[in-house]
Amino acid sequence: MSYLPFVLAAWIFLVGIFGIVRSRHFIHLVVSLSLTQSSTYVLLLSIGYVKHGGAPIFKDVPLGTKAVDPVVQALTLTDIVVSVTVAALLLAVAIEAKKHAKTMNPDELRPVRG
Amino acid sequence: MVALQATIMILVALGALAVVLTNDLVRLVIVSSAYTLLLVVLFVVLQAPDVALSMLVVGTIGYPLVLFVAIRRDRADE
Amino acid sequence: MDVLVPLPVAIPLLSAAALTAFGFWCGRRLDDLVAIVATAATLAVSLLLVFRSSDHELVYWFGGWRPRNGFALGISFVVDPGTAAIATLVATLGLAALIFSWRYFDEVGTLFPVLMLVFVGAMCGFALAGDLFNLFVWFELMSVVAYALTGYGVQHAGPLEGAVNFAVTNSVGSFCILFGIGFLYARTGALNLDQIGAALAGRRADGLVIVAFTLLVGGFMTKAGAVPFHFWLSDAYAVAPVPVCILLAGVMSDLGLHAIGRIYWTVFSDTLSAGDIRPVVVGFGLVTAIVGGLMCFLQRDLKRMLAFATISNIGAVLVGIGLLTRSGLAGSIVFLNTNGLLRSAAFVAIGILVRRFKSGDELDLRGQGRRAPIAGVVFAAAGLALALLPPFGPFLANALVVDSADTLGYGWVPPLLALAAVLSAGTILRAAARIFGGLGEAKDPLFSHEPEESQAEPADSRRVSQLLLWIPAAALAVVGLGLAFIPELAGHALRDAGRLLDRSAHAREVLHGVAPPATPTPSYSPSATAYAYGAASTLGALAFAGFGLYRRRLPIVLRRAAARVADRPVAGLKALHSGVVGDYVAWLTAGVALLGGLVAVMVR
Repeated sequence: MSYLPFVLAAWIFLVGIFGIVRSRHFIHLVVSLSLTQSSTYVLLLSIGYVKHGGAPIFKDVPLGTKAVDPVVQALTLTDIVVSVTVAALLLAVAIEAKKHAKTMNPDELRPVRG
Repeated sequence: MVALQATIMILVALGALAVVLTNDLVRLVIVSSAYTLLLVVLFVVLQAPDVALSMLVVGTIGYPLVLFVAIRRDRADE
Repeated sequence: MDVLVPLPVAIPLLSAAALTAFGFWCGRRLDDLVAIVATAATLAVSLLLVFRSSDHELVYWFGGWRPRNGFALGISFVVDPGTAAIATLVATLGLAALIFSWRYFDEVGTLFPVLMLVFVGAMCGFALAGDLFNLFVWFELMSVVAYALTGYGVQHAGPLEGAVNFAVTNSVGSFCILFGIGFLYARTGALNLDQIGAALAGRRADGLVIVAFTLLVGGFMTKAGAVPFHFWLSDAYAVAPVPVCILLAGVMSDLGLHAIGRIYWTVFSDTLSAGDIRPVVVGFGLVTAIVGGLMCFLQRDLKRMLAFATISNIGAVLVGIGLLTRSGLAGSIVFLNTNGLLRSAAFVAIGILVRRFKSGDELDLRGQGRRAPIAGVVFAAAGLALALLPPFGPFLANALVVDSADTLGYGWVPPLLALAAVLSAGTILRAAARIFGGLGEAKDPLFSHEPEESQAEPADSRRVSQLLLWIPAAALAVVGLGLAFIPELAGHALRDAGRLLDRSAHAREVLHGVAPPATPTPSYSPSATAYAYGAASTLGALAFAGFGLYRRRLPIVLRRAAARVADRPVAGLKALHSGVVGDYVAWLTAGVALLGGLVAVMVR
């Protein structure tokens, strides 16, 4: 359990980047971007993980009970909200672009070159 | 417990790869919701039930819905 | 505790919420008016904070959650004159942009002023935030609003693609930042900048700290648009509506650099030594300054030209921060404020041209600008000041950087900075001469083609009152040029920089509430060397402008020789800016790897 979650986070990040780079469709691009972002959830939650710690719910438990770090969980929640916002915005823009350019392929639709 | 954690992590890693390698859009949405479900299980294993709950709602219901709307809009023009 | 501190964030955000709820019933002009009043109030409060914080930092703990025994649980805003000045700059540019958009857009929904207000509030929050996660939240908020504004009300595919490139690249950058924050939290268990710094202080930097530093700096460089993270910037700024460009190019890019300076000094300064980091950051800055200048020269689309000028300026600011000295940091503070105002003034001038002549293309507009003399004066004045003409702000900033570089034995840095100023400001002057003076040739195949349909701007032939268009232009230019005449501006910047540099005193003040003794404002006057650089780069920029105008009248032998040397690199450089977002993300990843590798090599 020691290094594995960090390796997993790095793996998801790189796989996501790979997906963005090879993407040929805006929707695929957006999904890849969200996937890349999910690596940050894994990273944050594994940082806060404590072996044999319970969930950070402090109702009806004796003081000093071992629990995982709630701060990173709050950060992750914020992060999930951001992720969905960005994805929705990007999809809206992509659909709008489609109306005018008739393509959803990022390679065929370039604003400016050089 | 450690075996469970390792198993779910390997599944998540494979799931991520499956998502980016899927080209068909409808299939992509389904694969990505499956990946999110795996993430949800991982979060529960990592003792983060609150994050898992919100991820469950957002990632397996809300997000695929938005994606399907986008795909529908994309295809409606053709 | 100062109750004014949260206001620069609270006023715009609350007004935005009120406008969203009630704006639809009020009509466009009332909405605009509310937004303008709110931004003006933000400006007044920020300006007040500059003065209030002149002796000691203002630390505000939300909800009264003060730190105990140096352990901060609460979230804080930390105000010093430098950060308050940035908040003031944000509000000033926001005000100018809102006034400009009054007449600039023919039709604009209620959402435009709302988005602008949120953008202003988020940028103020980013400038003032005192802990890493707050920094991240404000960063995300301003980024998401910026993506939306870039594609706002646009009916063409090109601008939308620019917005997509912007959003994807910056999102990946923000993941890097979040990774860096996670690593720092894992190491220190803290999110407050000063508390992390205190926990890291004196320890040898291990792999985790180096990786965290790399990811944070890489992420913020993506926002700032440093080479090789800059590709999105020229695409996005070239297509965003002019009022949005004012904020994007005027201050948002610089905010990334501001964060780098602040994080290095409060967090890493006692574990990663300045000597190790300096060559890396200065190197990135110089490459950015020169590449930005070269690409600037190759453009004919005015907004894209200014976007590359922004990149070139960003490089210069990054060099100032990267020297990691008091004088360099002070120089970068002055640079950031004056350059931001001047670039925005130039953008407004472009906006006037686009509004009147329905074109933003240098060659198409040749000679037409004679009918808009005020825009011409603003544009040329901005160009001259950016060329480091004494005694204006950029010159003063450059003088501070030159001093610092000379003392460090980095004597080769100032000539390269002057070269970058010649390239970018010379190009602006070239465009000014061609458009407003009708000089130069009407065709030049070297310049990149105008992006198709990029002019997604309102184009309405009906005459509109010009007053509200040129007032912001003139005001921004006057303030930008006038800043240099504030008595002891450089001295104040030096004192402010000195306060940030003393990490342990800064930490004591933030975490324990112990104010350091007040220091006198040092007196500063630019050295003779600095004047020499200023004069040389101004003359160089004028000469370079002439070269750009009459390049093809040079003797054929010279031109052939130049073509043999330059054609391939120029073509290569243009090809790199491909407009494909996948390429940009690949570059970003490579850039982060390069940055990390260099830092690791220097530290080991």
